[in-house]
Amino acid sequence: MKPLIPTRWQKIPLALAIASVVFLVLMGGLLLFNQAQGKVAGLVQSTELVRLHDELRQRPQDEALKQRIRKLDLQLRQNSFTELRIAHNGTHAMIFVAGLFLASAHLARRQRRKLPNPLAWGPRQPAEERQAMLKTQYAVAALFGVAAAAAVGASLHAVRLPAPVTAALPVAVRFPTAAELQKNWPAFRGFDGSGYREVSAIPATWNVQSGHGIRWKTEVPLPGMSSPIRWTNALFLTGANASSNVVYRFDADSGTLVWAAALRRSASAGPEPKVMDDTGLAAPTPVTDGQRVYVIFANADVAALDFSGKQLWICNLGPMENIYGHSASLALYQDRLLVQLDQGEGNSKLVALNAGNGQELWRVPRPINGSWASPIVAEVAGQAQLITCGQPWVISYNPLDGTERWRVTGLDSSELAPSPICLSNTVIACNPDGNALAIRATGSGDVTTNQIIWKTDSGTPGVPSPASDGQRLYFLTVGGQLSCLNPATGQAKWTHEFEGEYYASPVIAGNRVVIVTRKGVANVVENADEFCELGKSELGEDCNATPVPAPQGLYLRGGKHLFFLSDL
Amino acid sequence: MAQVVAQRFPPPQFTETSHVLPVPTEPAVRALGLEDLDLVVLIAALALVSWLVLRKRSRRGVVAVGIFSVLYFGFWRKGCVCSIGSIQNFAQALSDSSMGLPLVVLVFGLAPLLFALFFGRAFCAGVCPHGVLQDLVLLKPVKVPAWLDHSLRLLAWIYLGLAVVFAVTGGGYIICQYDPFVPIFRLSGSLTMVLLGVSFLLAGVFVGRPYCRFLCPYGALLGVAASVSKWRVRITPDTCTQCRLCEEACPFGVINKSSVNAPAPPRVHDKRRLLVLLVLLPVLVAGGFGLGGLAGGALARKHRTVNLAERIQLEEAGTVTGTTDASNAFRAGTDSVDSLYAQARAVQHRYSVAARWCGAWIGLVMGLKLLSLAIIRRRPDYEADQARCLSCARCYRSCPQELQRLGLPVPEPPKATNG
Repeated sequence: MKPLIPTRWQKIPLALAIASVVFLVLMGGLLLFNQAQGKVAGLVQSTELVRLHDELRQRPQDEALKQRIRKLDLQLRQNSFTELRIAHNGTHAMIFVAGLFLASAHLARRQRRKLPNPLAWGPRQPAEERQAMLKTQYAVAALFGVAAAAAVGASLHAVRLPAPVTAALPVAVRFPTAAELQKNWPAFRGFDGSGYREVSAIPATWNVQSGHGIRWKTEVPLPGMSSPIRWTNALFLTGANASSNVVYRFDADSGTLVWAAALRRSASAGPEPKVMDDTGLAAPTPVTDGQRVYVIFANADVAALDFSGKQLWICNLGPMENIYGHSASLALYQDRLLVQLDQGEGNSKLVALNAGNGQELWRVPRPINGSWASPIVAEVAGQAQLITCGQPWVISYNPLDGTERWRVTGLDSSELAPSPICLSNTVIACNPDGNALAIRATGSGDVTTNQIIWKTDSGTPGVPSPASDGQRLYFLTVGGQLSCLNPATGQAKWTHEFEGEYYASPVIAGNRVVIVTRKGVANVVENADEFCELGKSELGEDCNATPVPAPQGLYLRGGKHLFFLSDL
Repeated sequence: MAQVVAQRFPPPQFTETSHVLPVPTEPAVRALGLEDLDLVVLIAALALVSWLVLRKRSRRGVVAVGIFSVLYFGFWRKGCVCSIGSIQNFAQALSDSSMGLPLVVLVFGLAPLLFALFFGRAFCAGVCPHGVLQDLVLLKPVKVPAWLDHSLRLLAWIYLGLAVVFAVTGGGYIICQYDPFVPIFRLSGSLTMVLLGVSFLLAGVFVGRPYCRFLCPYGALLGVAASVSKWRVRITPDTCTQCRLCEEACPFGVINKSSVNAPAPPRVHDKRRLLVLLVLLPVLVAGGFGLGGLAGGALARKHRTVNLAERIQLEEAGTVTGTTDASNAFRAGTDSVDSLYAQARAVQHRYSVAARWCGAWIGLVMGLKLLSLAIIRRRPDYEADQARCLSCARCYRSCPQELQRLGLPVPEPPKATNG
């Protein structure tokens, strides 16, 4: 056994440990004192220097004052760097001495270690472990109580922000009913964005020269890629050039131009953005709630007009930096006008404006590169969802407050133009030249791994959006391949290759499907499980806008004219 | 501390002199080769400590590796990336698939857990610089009462829940922000954090590894993994003679006493208590869920958007005078105040949801703890608690059998004490 009483040599570690502690306390105290005195940060915190600088601003020519500032600046700088060196060297010395202290203290402790003596602890008591555990249970319960009290206390310190503006709509405004929305064509590709109208009689063929199948044809003064929208007998359209953004109202029955309203530019609008000819300055389609029509143009001016053409409000959400120009159409949910602005990485966002006054209600950034797809609003399991596409995400939001409901990754294309559609609770999103995804829209969070129902790379559209009546799903590629798929499985029922280049999306009008090439050649096929071509006609002018089926015919915007095609 | 001040030094005010201002430079990204070396050192250290603890039964070896780890992972690598903080990377990567998980983080997060699954908490014993640093300062251990020890250990689970909440909601990596030892390893940091680290070390002189036992969220996870480990610390290399010499050998209070000399009490109420606690479990989870919702708003304060929105709101209302850098920057931008409020409300909603689940998690942890405490286990030997044992190897030499095995003098065994 080693002796418990230390010898003279064995006292050295203890002495070293004590000396180390003394050093650590003194050095630590010195550094803390310096810190507390503000010596290290003297230059930053010097009120005298700030005061002299203020004086110099008032007397910029005062050379004596400049000299005084120079002298003080130098002095403070030298003091600070001296203190910094002390702090630096002192810290290193403390680390070294702390190591010395630990080594000597452990050695000293080892020399004085005593053996345990269980006899002194007394005998084990019956049920001692059980009693200790009971005591511990009470302690755990007390801890839960403390945590609960902390949570309640914390709730008193939450930041209470002003309530969102929700009551700005005039009393007379009411939201359109579902039946009204279905009866009309209030947005790009219809009220639900599916490109389908159940009751519609469109001609299989027409002839512009002879007038066969042409109910009326009216010139549109300014160009635009936007599609018409219709509410009862009002047909709205936009057009623009470098100097004007114009909204048109046509009479849906006669084709008469009822009014043309040139927008007064937003005060905050920047210069006209550079856009590609294929996009133009009026690519997004307007949206209406039956009382107002809402429009957006390439310069990010967003405006509302009433049905008489009176401009109610305008605001600007620019600058726009989309490389091809902005083309995403507007969406509307109750009093929220929803604007998808995917301008490129770090500059993509979703904005909700109060439809009544144009005030911004919410804005959420989007982790998206630039995109050209339009958002849609769908009702899934009793919940409204704002569904958006952009590289690389399909994201669903709550249109009321912009909170995210779910997202799916997989849209790899950097040039994403097809808009999504929603069938019951299934969202179809297309990745140009890649996969089309069918997503179950009832999840939450990132559902990439568990809510994709099917994928297909067959005939995925590049620019036109898909269309579906719920029974069949149609994909149209830019190169003219029209595919009819089973929306439940993604299996192709038939595929047919048409000639021409296609930007306009296909639409389904009752039992007919219409597609139109960029040169204005239209093909009508039967909406059926077997391919059946019904007719082919020429418009006589370019066409990039998606057709609008109506109960008695088809509205079609050409490069120069608006047509109503009907043989009734 | 000194570094912070040095960075804040304003440049000289006068330009007519010949002084040339230095060009700001970005710190170099840690070389990939060094990262690979880190991984190799980590795996090697884990393997070596496991071997030293379980096969060699060498406390000295563990201390030697530990000192190396403090120097390498602590002072040289500046305590980052560390396994403790990697929890947040994992949480964020799992909640946001656009976030990547670097290989070095992946390995630092998973390797210690995998080793714990097979060999116990080798990481805590001699690889984690935080733990070893506290271990080295432990000079005069005092015994923490069992009820306090068990309760305080739950703080680690609460901390884990909060760290995940802040990581997934964009509030930051709080484990890293409030790491008390990184300022010591870096010899730099805010005065508050330096003092916090020093306080932990001073407390660690008397209370064995206070951060590891009561706060470390990664240690809590390692404990779960180690509880099912196949190979574990055994105090005696042979048969336990019930000598009780090891009873107080562990400074961390993780030696479970043998039941041999402790007569079993009547257990009339134990089953009823267990039943009550089983019923209480969902109540605690639901209660935690609700309480978490209450706390969500306050937690959201940590998010910069909410913070800024509050500041702007106070400035708009005239409650505060003056402006801050953040509020000035916001006003210089194009975003509207309404938009900021809308974003802040969205952030608050995210926090509210995350805090609810965190509350449910805390309720679950506490409920399970109460349940585990209601089960009295009979043990034939004195043995280290598999989950809580830090594999420090201190207890080995308290066993006379071990001393005999090593050929060291064996103290005279005490007489029987059952009473």
